[in-house]
Amino acid sequence: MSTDAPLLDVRGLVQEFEVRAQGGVKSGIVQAVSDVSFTLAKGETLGLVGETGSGKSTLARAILQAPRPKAGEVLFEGTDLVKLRGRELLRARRQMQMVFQDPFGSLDPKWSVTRIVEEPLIAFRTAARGERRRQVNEALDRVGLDPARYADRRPRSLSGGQAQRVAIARALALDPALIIYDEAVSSLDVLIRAQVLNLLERLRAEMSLTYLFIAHDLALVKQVSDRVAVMYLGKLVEIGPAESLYREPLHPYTVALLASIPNPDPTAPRAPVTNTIRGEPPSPIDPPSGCRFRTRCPRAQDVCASEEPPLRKLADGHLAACHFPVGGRESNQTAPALAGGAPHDAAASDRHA
Amino acid sequence: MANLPSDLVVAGVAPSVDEAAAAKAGGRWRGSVGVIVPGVMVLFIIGLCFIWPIIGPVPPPTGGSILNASLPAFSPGHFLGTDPVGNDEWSRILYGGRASLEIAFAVQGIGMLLGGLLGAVAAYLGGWRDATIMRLLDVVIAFPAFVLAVAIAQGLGPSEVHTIWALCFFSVPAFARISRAATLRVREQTFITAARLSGTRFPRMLLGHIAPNILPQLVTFGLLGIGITMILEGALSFVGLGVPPPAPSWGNMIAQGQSTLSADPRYVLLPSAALFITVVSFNLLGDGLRARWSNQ
Amino acid sequence: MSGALLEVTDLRVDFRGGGQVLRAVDQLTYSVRRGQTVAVIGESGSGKTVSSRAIMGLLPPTAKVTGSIRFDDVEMVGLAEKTMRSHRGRGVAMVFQDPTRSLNPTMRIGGQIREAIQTHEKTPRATAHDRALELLELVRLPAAKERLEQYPHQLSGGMRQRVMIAIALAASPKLLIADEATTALDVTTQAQIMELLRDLQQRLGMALIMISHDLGLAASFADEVVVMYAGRLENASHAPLAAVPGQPPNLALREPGCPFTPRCPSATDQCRQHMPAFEEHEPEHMWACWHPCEEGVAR
Repeated sequence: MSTDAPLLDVRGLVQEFEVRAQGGVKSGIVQAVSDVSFTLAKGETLGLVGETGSGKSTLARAILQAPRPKAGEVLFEGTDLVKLRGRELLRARRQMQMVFQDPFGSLDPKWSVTRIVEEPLIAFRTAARGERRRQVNEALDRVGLDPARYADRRPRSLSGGQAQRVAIARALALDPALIIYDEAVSSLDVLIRAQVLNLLERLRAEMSLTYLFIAHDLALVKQVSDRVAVMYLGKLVEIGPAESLYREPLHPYTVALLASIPNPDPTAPRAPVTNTIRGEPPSPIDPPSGCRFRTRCPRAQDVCASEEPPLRKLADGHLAACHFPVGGRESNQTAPALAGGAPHDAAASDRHA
Repeated sequence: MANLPSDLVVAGVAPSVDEAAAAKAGGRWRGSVGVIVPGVMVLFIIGLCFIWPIIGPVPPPTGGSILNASLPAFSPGHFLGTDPVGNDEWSRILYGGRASLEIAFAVQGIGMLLGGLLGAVAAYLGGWRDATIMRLLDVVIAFPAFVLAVAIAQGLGPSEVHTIWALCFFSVPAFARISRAATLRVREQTFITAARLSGTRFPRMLLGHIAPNILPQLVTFGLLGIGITMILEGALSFVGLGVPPPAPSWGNMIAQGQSTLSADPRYVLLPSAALFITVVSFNLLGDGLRARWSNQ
Repeated sequence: MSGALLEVTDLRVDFRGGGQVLRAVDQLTYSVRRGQTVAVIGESGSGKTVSSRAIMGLLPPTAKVTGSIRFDDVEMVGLAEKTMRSHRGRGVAMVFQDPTRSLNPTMRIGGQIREAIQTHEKTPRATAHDRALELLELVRLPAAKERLEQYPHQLSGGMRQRVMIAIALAASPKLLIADEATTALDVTTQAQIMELLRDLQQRLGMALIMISHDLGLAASFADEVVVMYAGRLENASHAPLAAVPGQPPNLALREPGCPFTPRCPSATDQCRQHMPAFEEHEPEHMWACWHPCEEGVAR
């Protein structure tokens, strides 16, 4: 990775939502993102993994200030986005774009493909009509859609994969530096998914893009990411190089996630997932004290309830927030042995993913 | 999806079919009987009331001679007969329809534009702006509109224009509610977030994204409301507002006809039948369009 | 293959509508033995869901089913709805993808399980209640007793799916069909539910058909894998698939040859014109292709 300043530097990000009961009475606060910090280097792909309620989508939107986070800093090329307002924020938005999970939901059903891709160009008044149209066609070409055939189509006459390509073309229209993919391939068929991932990789190289790739599927994330971050109930629990994270996960939750990946090799030993994680996810309104994962963790001790573990470096470029991590420099902590052993070779699964 | 049985689609069992193939198979207009038939009826009625009196042999609806009073149907020159003052009944039906429809279109039109705009802005901006606009509209709804109508009739005098203002008291808040609910639904869609991230600002958001997506609901509501408005206009005639006689409207014709109901029910039945047919046609059109648009 | 619990032979399902015939399932043949797990996988539109609905007799009246589905030596195709209803739940039960939409939001959990129990056998309420508790414990739902009194919205997705499984097991079926039962769940919950299903299978001697688009999931839990494409059986065994260009075919506009031709790197004219037969080319490994891959690589 380059030694320049990171493209994105997130510090202590906090995002909360009010929950209202019937009649609008405030009944609680969901701590969707709690004190999350990480950096994103230019040109890299950071994978962000988490299950429902982990806060990964909320984190993405908070980075884009949609809506603005409750606390923390989001430094994009040195400028804190949280402090920007109005026109300045609008200008900053040119550099960051997002592709959403539902390919059809993110396209206005009444608009044509051309108009959809043109929208950011019109909003930022980048060029006159003729030049804009040219840029739209160029973007469509880039994502593999022939402008002659697709320019005037409506979203309802597109397939899922095609619709998502239109969304990607729109994201590329302003030549941004950062693109956030929020479960962008999760609702696509497996075969289409692979096509789109290949496209994303090609675009990254061609246009020197930086990606934040959010997904709940670990095997998928490993395919595309240089580094991977794992979130649980609003907290960042582990972050490190993809290879390292999959080979030697440090956080028990990461171990559970890896154990949950179905292994298509019929001869591989089937380690039971129930040894790595137990019970149901706790409520995000009232998360457990100390380490939020402790209620489901087979390694939890008393200290886990009283003290929240900080995110600390346990291997090269590899951090985890755990009092009793699995492996790493401080792995000789006394803790009940994790039954089921190390996760099976995840490299086998990405050949099939 | 145009030509696959809807229960298949609902069962989630049918795969998606390319629209080009569907159009090729010619299935596109099949389900539109529900729109075309009432649509033709509506156009016919509008043509009859607005265009026919100008180009056809229709005698004036007022200024009849008392010598021709109360002629029965199929009399020479008056195929529906005349009213107790000698005006041609057929002409009164046509001109009466024009007045009633003018009022209905104006009321629904103003409602859709003003009410639609207020509701959409309230829903999109949210917060105190939403609360303020909706509370103001609540005051309007709570206001006893009939009392207002009588006050206008007494104070300003009855006229077609005054009737329209009074009826807008009903239509504007109603459209605002519909528009607000529809906008709230659209606002949650991801493409709105995407548009905001693309830099689109409020005016273009409202006109480009919100309006086209809530328009189908507003239009169907408007069509269904045409009938209600015409009936309300009739009700207002009983209270003294409404189109002032001798100019006819279906409402005031029914109101006037009640005095001779037992002697000659024709003066009530004819405008009632015309009103009925028109209301049913608009309602069927509204239903048909709603069905067609929600299938897309 | 006598003695098999379920034998599907030459199953064909056609849908008529808008002047077109859509063949959703074409000449499907496979069998499931008692206690066995068979995975049926394919993309959307492959016919996997339609074929499982055919086994349960849950297709809309516009569907025309031909061929044979023999369950426990009884022919299911053409069976009257009344007989079908008694066979559903007792012989074959199904768990669907979205537990949120399959559970009645206005009815307590206990009530819904009791309803499932009492549909098949006249049971006094107290007995049914006890059995409901038993079933919830069988599916390892924590705090089962309290859950009986709760409503679906008070449970998480994983818990709701356990309730669905409990309902499916109410009449002790011999075959359970899990139609994308874990697709809507988080990956750790998915793994927990799959382990539960496997455990239940072993304890109850139940056969399982799992329908999925996830080849990895299927391969890791199933004894046998059936791959469907455009309504047809293309492969039965464990096998990986690489990224493939193109779109799934339009089932209303079928070509005479192999439906995979437009996306196949090995396709020739023969493929375009003639449909390959589904045959056993190697022991226990059947496929339908004129130019099958060698060593996992297309020729």
